[in-house]
Amino acid sequence: MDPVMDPVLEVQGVSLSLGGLTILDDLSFAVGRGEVCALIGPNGAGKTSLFNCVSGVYRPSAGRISIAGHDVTGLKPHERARRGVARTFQNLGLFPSLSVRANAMAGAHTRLHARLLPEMLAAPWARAEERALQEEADLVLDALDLGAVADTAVTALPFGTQKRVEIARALMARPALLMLDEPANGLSDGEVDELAHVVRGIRDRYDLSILLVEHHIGFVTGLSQHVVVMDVGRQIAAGTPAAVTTDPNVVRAYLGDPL
Amino acid sequence: MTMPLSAPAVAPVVAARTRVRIGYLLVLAAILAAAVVPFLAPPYVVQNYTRVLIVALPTVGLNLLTGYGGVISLGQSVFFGLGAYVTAILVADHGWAWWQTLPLAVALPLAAGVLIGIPSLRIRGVYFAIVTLVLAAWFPNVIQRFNETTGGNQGKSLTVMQAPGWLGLAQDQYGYLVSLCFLLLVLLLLRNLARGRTGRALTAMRDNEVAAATQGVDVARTKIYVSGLSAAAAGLGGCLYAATQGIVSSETAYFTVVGAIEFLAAMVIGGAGTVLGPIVGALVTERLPVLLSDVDPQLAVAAYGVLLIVVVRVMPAGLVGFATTLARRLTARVTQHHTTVNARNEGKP
Repeated sequence: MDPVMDPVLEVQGVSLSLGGLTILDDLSFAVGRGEVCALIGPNGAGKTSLFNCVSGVYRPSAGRISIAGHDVTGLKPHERARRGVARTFQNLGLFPSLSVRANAMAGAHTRLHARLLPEMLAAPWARAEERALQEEADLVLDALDLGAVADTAVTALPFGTQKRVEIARALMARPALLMLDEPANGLSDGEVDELAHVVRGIRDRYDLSILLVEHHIGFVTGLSQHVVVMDVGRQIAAGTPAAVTTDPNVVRAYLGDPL
Repeated sequence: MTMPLSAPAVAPVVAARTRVRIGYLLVLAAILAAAVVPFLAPPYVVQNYTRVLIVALPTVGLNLLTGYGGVISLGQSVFFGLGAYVTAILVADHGWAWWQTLPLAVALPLAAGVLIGIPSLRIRGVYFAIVTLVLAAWFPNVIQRFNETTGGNQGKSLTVMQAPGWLGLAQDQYGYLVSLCFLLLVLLLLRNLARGRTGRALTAMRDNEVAAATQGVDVARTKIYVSGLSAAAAGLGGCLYAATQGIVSSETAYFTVVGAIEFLAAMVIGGAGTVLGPIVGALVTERLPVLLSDVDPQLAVAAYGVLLIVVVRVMPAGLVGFATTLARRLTARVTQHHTTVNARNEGKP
């Protein structure tokens, strides 16, 4: 593995077993600051499980996960969110009872200072904080072309748009590491190109490091500096998109013969 | 990246503003109407309405925990009872004025709600519902067991709250108005809470606990805090119950599982997760049986059951949720109509 300078995420020897099955097997890689790193591999390779280990939904059975140099292996999901980890979900993890704007605002949960008592008493500073957050949410929604649907119920939106609401919610956390689980899933080719443009834009604008799971190989090669290829829980290749996509192991396990 | 938008974005905004304005007017009218009730109705009806206000308190608390947070509690009767006995014992045996017992009658259930929540809310699933159900079943026995202090099933009498002379109010009117003030205060506090960070976190937890946690919501801690707040609202209701009714006993229905279920039913009928639902629900569960039993006591129970089934089947969001949806459709139609009319008029030469 090539050394990554100033890593935002370090995964060191991570293994995960669930019910006797080995899901992840001694996985190691890192995501550098400002980098877009993609995880690719066939279904069942363990990509989403790795996401769950990084965001704290699963506890790895071995290994170490660090965020910006701090070991977070033992931390709960909400504690990792405070350390700057934000994610989207493969099959959507939005809050259906909330509007698009409220979903986005929910992403900023850890950044708000108002707690029970100031909230109940409607303390002026707590209300000001809420108003400021609402304005900020509207800016982020506009940046993702969601301004027009801010007051809509999320469930009324098409799948691809809901995935973008998830990105907006994750951005509202002002994360150091943004994890996107199949953001291009269900989009047309034109929409995929647009999404790549949007993701590049938000990375620069919000100074993000991004870990990406995606099957759309054009999206991956166009966006990422670093690709990790997984198969049945193991890492079978890693490197630049160009190097990885021509690697015979990767072609055999995942990409198939070139057309 | 574009998406199809069926309607122009302006109409919903206008509709939302109209709705908010109409909503405020309705609430203001309801408060005024509630304030004049004790001056128009005969004392026994006023007392019935006082119980509506008091039953609304544990229901408002439950709504925060169950309606917004999705945590089912069957133990509101315990916290209601705790508050009632704190007031009854301190007033009857220790000579306190009822209002002096208020802080303790709220703080003790609050602490109990937090303490019960700490072990049972850290575990996902139905544990909290079961733990609170067991407590609710057990509570009347505890009252019996300590019957020297509590009066057991014989009950404990206390002097009811009296209006200060300069107010010139009858006892029933005073009890009603005091209860109304406290209920409005609690409603205001919980509405503020439901609108901000905590309300969003609660709804997020109910909708998708894993996603809420990855957004930074400390799910266990939030549930424990809200369990305490919910219990505190019930305790306040219990305090007012004792201070207005003048007797509490281990057989008072509100302190038993029957009470816990009534609070839950009131929340569901009124509308779980709506601000005003608990009030409407308490009105239905407390007032309807009385009205119906004037016609036929047997009918009252049956009609109540049928109503519960109808509401759950036809209006999953309760009466308030149903009314809100209806109002939203109406205002949307009216504004849409206006927009089309205006557009047509502008088009004319």
